[in-house]
Amino acid sequence: MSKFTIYSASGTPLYEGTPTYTGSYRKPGMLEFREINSPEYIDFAPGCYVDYTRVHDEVNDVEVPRRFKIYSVPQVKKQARNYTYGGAFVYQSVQLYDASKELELCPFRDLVKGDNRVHFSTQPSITTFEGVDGLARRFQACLEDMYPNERWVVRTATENDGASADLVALMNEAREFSVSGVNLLEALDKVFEIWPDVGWVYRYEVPENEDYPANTIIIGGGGLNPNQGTYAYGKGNGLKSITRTVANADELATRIFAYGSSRNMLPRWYNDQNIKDADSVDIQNLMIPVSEWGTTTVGGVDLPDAAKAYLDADSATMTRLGLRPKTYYFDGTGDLPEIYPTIREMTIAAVRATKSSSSDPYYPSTSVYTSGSARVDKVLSVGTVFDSGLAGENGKSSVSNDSTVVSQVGTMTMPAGESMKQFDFLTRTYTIGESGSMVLSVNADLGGTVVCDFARAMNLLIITSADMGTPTTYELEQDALGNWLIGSYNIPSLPFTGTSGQTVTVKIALVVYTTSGDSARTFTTNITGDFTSEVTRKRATTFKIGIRQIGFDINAQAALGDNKTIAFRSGKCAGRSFAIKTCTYVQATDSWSLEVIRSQDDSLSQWFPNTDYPVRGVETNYGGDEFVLLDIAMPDEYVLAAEMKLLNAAQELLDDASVERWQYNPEIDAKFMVENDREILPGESMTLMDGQIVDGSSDNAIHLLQHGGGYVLTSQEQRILLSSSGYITSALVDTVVISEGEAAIPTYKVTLLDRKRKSFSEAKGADSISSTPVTKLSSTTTNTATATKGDTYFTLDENGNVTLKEQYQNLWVSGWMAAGGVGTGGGGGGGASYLNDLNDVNAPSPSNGQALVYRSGEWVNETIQVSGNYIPLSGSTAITGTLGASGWSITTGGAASLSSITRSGAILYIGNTNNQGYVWLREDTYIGGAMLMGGTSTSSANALWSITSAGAATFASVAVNGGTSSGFLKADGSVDTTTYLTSHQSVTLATGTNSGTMKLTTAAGTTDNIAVKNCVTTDGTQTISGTKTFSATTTAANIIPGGTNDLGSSSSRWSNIYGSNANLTGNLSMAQASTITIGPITISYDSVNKALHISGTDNGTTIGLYCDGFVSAGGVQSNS
Amino acid sequence: MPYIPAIRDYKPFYIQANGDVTAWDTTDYGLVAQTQPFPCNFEVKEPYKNTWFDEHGDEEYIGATMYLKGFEYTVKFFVKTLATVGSSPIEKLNSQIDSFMGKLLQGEFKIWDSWQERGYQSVRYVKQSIEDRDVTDEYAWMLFSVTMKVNDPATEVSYNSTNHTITATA
Repeated sequence: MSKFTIYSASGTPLYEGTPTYTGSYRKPGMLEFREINSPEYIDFAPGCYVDYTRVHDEVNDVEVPRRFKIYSVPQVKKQARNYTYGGAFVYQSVQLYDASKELELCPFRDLVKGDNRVHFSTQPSITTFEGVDGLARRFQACLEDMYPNERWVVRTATENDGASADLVALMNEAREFSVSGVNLLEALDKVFEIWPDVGWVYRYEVPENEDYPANTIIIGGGGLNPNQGTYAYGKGNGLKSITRTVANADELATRIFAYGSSRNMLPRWYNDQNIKDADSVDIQNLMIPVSEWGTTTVGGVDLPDAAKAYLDADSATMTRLGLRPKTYYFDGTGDLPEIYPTIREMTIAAVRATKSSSSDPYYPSTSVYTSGSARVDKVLSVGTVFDSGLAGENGKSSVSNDSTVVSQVGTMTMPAGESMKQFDFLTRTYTIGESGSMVLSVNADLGGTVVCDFARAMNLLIITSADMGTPTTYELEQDALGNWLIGSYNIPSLPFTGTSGQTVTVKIALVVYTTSGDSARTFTTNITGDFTSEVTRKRATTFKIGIRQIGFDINAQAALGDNKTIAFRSGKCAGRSFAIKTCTYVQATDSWSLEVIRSQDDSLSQWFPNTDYPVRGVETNYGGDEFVLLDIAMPDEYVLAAEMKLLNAAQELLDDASVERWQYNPEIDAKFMVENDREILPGESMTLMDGQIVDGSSDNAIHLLQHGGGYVLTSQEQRILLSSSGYITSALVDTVVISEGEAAIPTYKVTLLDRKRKSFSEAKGADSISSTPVTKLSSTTTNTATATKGDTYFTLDENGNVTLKEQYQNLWVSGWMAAGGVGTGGGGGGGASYLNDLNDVNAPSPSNGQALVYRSGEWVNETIQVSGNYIPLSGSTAITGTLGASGWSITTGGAASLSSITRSGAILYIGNTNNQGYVWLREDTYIGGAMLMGGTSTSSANALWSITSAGAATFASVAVNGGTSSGFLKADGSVDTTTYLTSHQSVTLATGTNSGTMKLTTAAGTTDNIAVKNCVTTDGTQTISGTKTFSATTTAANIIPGGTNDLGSSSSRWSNIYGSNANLTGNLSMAQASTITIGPITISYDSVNKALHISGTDNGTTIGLYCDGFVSAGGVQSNS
Repeated sequence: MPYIPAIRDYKPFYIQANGDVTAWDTTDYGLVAQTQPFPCNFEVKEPYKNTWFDEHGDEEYIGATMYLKGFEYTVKFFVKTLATVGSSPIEKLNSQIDSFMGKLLQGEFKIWDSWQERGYQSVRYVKQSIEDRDVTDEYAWMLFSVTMKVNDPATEVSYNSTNHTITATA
């Protein structure tokens, strides 16, 4: 039980009692004394306050009092005279609020901070199209206006606060916001409604870059920071009990019928599809893809059935929960986003993906669009709009003014040999507007003189370019001293016509005339004043923008309204729509040029876009304004893409709606709170641990993912808790009630808000609707974490950024920790910002030129000694004398003496510890010119060896390792030890007709025509092939035919065979018609009589046959 | 001068009422304390308690100090008056009791029992009840109890017999 004192506004103690604190998410914190009994009257008036301390400052380890004030006089009852009874005066429900109560008192007026070109009306009706950050500035402007003496900061949560990238993107998204006659608290509720779940918390904290705390409203700050530690059931763990209920029992769904909006849809688009009852269905809205519909058999054919266009939960969920159908419209009403065919957030790659072929005429060119990530819904280029959009002359023109100071003070030089010269000293450029014409008025309000005693005349010219003919010339007069006088010159109206974007240049010049120009001469000018101009342009009714290849021709698509329109989602024309007048394809850049009609904002009497609120294309560090096309029937490809988007969103919705959403009501152990110095803040999250009741089992109800020894939250809160065991869930603290008077110590009652409703990827790219788990630690990571208290939080967003959740926790690593060096944060608030912040550095006030010196265990800063010999750390200073130390020196002449030059990794070695004096060229060494050695000059003429840059080598001698005098080096580098002919007779190769033969000339004479190869030698045995013809008698001891070869042939017969008692061994066969002639006798074969016929060669000569022995015939065998 | 019973070694009971610069003895009103009523078993306030159903006993938060409950106590007084000329015994008895009660209703007071040498501050009157009495023409007496509540059971007080004051011990 703790007592707290109510003080008057001036600080006088009024009452001491035990209040009850009630902190609620998105509501002012309240401190209440439910009944005060007093013997005397107490003047509880607005401004009375209590400094309540249940908020602990972790940094300074102190209780931070938060001031609660009375904003309205409490009810009081008098029931006895003053000081006669302890309850003479009874005050019921004395309520005091923290400073966020002022949100409820402060009207939300249309105010903005400073003149920042954001329109404001000061009235209580606000309609704007902007992100949450813009609204935060409006809220702050209202608070500063109402409470000028208080410090208020209204800001959006950042990643430093623990906000996820999705949340930041969601808050940055411009949306229409319209309220009237509300206070800031109600306006913040509206923010919560329009940007789903973007609530707020109140903190009294020190703003960034400031020294003193301020009342701070952090929009989007709900649930970002976990309250300290974890809570689990049991003695010493913080929870006396946990009550779990199903919070979404009425919202559970296992079958979802999902419809998009009808925007940009042709009315009978689905009737043209191959579906059941194609003529009868009347579907105006976008549906999930036809391929996802259930089918019905019609005439033996399964056709997609519109009645079956739904998504079912998985079978396990269906079994567990049964069939629970729900219908949802993604048409922008309620919490669900509008989904319709649109180019919003489409990329070049996505457009290509809608094309069946790269030959499609609207397939984005691969040569123009080398990156598929370029967004087609961003403006590529814009034509210049020259007017401010405000009504000008006759309500049709706009006027822009230009002013500059003229100061031409100094000298000018007349070149030698010239008698006339023009000196320009002011140049201004103006651009003709879209209308192709403008009227220029210039006024040179100048003064001063030109001192030039050699000029015979001097003129001042106002010169205009762009076909303006002769310049306007003003002849200067001289004063009594001969100085040329400068005055004021005015040209009231210079009309220009030309093309849009053409520039006109205006110059002011002096023209000096002299009588003689033999030598260069200078003169002095002292011209000062102002140059002003006014340009009046006819306001253009249209403006041009270029967009990338969007995959279709706008001209070919039907208009669904009066005009096809383009509406901008970002930039200074965000929220404005313009009718498209023309659309032209630009083949060279594969893009489209739109001529868009400017529109007038009647409430501002201003035309948009204009010079102050332009449309911006792709510029440096700016990707172009985002736009969508409206009131246009989108091509089928875009309808299909939108159907996929709807399917993804519906699936995400089903995933969310088909699981129970648990709600927890923990009963907090007050003893644990006191002993562990815990605090629970509304709007922050609270982590519960339990193995049973806080158990998501297999569903995603509490978004748990088992991982190693602990569990990792995978919900959109993206919080990771490293724990040794147990199930964990974390939920936003909706209310916390601290009763100071119920027991000896403060008692707590906490209500945890349901898990936040998904925003259905409003902040995500249209093509990335599907949710992607972002917290996937490897099991190694969780297993090796040593969260001894189980309460070390960090966040990991889907971009991979890790942020420590405990603001004042440290991050230690036992090994290396490195980063790219660029990221969020900065400022050095968490560590050493200056060198002197390091433990071993004592250099508190370093100054220029000082260096660090290590002395007596620390680094100190000392001034570099610049007297005497020193080498500067920057710049170039020649060193006189020899520079060197032990082992090396470089003399004044540049001669270097080095013990070694070593290039690690090694291209060049000059010496080393073992090989003094050697030059080691290692690996690839490239020499640009010739290499020489020896000799007395760089010429190769007298070098001992050289290799020219062309590769020609000359050496005094070349030896081969292992080579001997019996071998010689061949051109391929090999060594040949073959013995070759060292001397021979003269050999002369024949020429001419004897080519290919040679003659041998010996002492015995000359032999011609000897074949070089296959010669027949005069000795030895050789085989001769081919026909050999001998023209003369050939003498041979023996003629031996090889094998069964013939001697002669039918065509080459032997004429005579001479023998000397020659013997024939073996059989001699002759042909039947052959004859043997011996002298005058011829022996032949008589084929008629089959007898040997002996006849004389001379007819008529009788030839006899006689025998010295027996003659037999007719089968009688002779015998001896 | 009221009648005072002759009680050997009687130890006075002192009361210093709100606004009185000195304490007075009840015998000043003819009342003698019959009992020594001070409780010796002081009761502490209930500490914060957790009853864990899955553990034996209770878990209590015991801070650096245990705080005592306030308590009531009752003192029996005896008063007797004798008849004097012009004054009946009952008239005198009522007068003495009224004077005594007047002191008790003077807001908070301090008490000191010289028999036990213990006293308290922040004491208030609660009630009285008559237990017995007798009234005759010669005398009248009454035995009655007075209930008082001690709102500050912790602060020790002492009686200064020199200047007759009851003060909190520093």
